[in-house]
Amino acid sequence: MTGKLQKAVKRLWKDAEGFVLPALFGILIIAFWEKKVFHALLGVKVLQLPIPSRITAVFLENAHRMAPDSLATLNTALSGMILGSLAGFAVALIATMFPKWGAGALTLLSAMNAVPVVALSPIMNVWFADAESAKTAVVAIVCMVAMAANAFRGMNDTKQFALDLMKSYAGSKRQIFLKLRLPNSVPYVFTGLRINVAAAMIGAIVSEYFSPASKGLGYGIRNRLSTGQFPLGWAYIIAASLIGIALYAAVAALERWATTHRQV
Amino acid sequence: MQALKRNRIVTAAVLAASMAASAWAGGTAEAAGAAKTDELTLHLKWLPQAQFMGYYVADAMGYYAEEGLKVTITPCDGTIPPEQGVSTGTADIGVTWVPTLLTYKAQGYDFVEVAQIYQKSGLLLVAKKASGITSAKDITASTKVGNWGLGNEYEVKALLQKLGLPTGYTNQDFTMNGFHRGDIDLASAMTYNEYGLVINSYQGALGYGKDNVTVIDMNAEGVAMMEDCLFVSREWLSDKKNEDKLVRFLRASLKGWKTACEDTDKAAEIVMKAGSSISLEHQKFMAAEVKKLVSPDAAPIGSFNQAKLAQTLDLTQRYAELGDSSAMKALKAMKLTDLYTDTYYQLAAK
Repeated sequence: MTGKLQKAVKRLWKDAEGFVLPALFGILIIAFWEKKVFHALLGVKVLQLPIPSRITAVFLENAHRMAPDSLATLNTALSGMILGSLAGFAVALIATMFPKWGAGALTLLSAMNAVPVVALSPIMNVWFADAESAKTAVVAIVCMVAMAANAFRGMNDTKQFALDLMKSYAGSKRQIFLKLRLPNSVPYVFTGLRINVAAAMIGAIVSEYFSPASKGLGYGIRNRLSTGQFPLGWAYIIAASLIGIALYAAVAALERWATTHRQV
Repeated sequence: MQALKRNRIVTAAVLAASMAASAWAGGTAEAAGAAKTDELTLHLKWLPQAQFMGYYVADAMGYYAEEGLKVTITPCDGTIPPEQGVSTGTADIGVTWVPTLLTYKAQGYDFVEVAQIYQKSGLLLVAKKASGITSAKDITASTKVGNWGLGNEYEVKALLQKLGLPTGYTNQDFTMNGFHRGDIDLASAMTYNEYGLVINSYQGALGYGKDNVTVIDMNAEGVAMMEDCLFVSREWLSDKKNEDKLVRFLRASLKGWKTACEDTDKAAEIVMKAGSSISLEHQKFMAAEVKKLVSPDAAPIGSFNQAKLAQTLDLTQRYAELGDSSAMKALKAMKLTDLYTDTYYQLAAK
């Protein structure tokens, strides 16, 4: 009897271990922060680094103010990510169809990844008269590269024996693509998407720093930090993190669903 | 093993030698400093330009040196505002606008204003005459009004409210491209900076000409707020030595402003040499316009105009939006006497 209970407890702990320890560590960090241990260590004032309880209070006070900003950022990040990922996938598709110059084009595209968002954003503001399009374009460009590179790898990193098998069956290019390359690319596409969640949030927030539209979490963070409103600035940062985590969780759930339901 | 040990010994020797050297250097520097000059850092609100010509002139003409001061002028690159520089102690004295100072104070920063350099608001709203806007009366709810935000928007909001219009505005960047392209109908412009870029035709300016632009002046509309002032933190001021340094700094700076206003072209050249990236013509235009704000009447430079400061406080209390309710409460409760002290100005102006 006791043996069974012990076993059950052991199993429960094993399940919880991965969660409990990080959570405890997080709580410890927040407690140190609240009790101003970091302030003493780093020599900063509470005005410069507000404590968690104050940030939480200000977060709740300003939820109504942050909600439209959060929606604006979510809108930019999502639409840019979808557009960019689709475009990236299309590039990978074309590069696979025409491998001779496709790989070269892809390399060129990857070079675009080196252009920092802070440079891209003001340029897009000049290209697009509409502030919303400019922000979406920044996110789309950033997302396109990661998706193109990953999807291309997925379409071409096929097992040699699988390719040989398809060829021995006299499979056409089209059949090889639909039955081998496309399914093979699914996990790679999700890797691209997971990278893009983070990139889209960064792209959206940074372009809001430069955007003529006075909305969005990026604008909120910039505005509050530069007017010394650190508690509200932190509240905005937390809102941005929460949205980023939620988006990531959504993509991870979609990935789990897609990889368990596919038949290969 | 042997090699490791030897390495350690060498490292220790080098360390000891360098420590001795730095101690020696530090010692002599200290001795020289005590005998000669005190160091001060002034954090500007913006890039080096004629807006701050008084300080650059005081430095170039040796007024600071005469007071036994070595003043480092730190321009603001847009990332660290002067309030945060003074708060963290990377700067001793800051230049900022009064409304911004008030909102910082409301959040618990122990700042105090010590001189009011600008006596008038330099903020204008400008429109192309072709847009059909000829005066403030022509502004409607659909007029796209631009401002930089970040605490620079209160005068615009006050004007819109006065006209019975919604107080929203379009975010304006630090160029006049939005105005030129037509994304903004009514753009914010400082008399000494953006306005010059709109009307003049020197390099980098848009060349519209005075006659083709409608100007709405915040002073004339009765919503003016006081801008460039000097401030310090009370904590810094609690040191007697700093009080003395501040008086000397103010005396030299006021003298610098007086000299700059007497010959604005020369002041512009001094600013240019100090590292302004904008053309000399624009600096000359700016210097002449800044003079109109610094000494618009017989009032001595740097003095406190109670009525104008009271209006600034009133408008800030009405239009500043602080997310933190306790800061908002502190702002509403603030009185003019909390904002400034004229003690040091009086000593310096004597």
